[in-house]
Amino acid sequence: MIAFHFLITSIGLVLIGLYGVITLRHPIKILMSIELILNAANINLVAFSTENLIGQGFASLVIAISAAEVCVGLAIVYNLYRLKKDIDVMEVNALKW
Amino acid sequence: MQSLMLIISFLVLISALMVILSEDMVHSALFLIFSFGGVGALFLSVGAQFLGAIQILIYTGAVGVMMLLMIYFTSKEGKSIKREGKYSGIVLVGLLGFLILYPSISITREVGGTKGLTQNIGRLLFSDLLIPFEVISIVLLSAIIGATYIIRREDH
Amino acid sequence: MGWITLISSWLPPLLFGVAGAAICIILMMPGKFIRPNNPNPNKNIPYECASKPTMEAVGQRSVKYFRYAILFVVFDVEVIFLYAWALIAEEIGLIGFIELSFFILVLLLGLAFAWKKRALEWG
Repeated sequence: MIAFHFLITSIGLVLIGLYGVITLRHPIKILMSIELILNAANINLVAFSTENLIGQGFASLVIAISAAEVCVGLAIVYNLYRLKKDIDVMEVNALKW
Repeated sequence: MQSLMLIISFLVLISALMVILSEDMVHSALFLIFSFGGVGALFLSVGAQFLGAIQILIYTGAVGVMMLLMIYFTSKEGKSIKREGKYSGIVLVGLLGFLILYPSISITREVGGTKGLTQNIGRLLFSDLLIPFEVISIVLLSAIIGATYIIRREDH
Repeated sequence: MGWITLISSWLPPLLFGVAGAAICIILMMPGKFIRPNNPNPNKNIPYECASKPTMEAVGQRSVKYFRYAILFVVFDVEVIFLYAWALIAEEIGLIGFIELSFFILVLLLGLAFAWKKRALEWG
């Protein structure tokens, strides 16, 4: 099977996710964009693990890490909502100098 | 097979774009879940059956439910947060896409060929990838501790 | 791979999906034709014969559901790796069992922490 559509999907997901991380202001949507970028990396790891299975094993570890990341990220979003009653990331400037 | 996978890639990209563009948070989470499912179908098409299964189980199951739950907790009616810096974002992402698109589509390697059955992945995880596998447990431990500490109860 | 081999190799999941969609459609479509259709804005409020709702149902919710969701996600990931171990348990023997026991013990520390922080209690 040719690698063309795997590459196109992977590049497209990276670019869409990067655009989301740059421009969106809702923290849950930013987390969703990060998930899209991780998926793009997984597509490449799986598609090019042709000689051995190291790529696929590594992709399963990436999936486990992204689940942990979503736990902590969403907990931070909830704490933000509880403290400020507003989850626009532009309003979160308490640490901004 | 090839044309079916092209259709699935197209659907994945369209739904990923709708995650960014849709105004309603719940719609965007559902599009995200659809996109994860499409990526799982791509995994299955190269024989990565274990990864296809855990993509469905962890991403569309657990992560999708977490996203929807947190949207339910923090949603405010009638308030949608707009995007910021749309055009400069398009310029930046377009520039990056221009840089990585040409060297990527000139790759003519074949993909797939190995059977990613659960037994094979298990043998790999318990021999070559043993240290990363054990480190994953510590990462998950820190996720439990961090998340329960961040959203601890008020009267501690 | 031609279309014939593709469809024949994926026939059981295809049949499963088609049957699932067909059951949904068969169960939901006849009611749409049989039941009387008389839309009224009063029918859409939550309690038809009580006082009018003062606010939207979407409001602040208790976070206690989320504490369970965190533990669910982490142990979901653990069960996935447990499944990968279970299929090769006889091959790798005691060494694999010790490796997996370390993995589970570290996660049990997290469960003990959540228990001690009273994250498992309801209310």
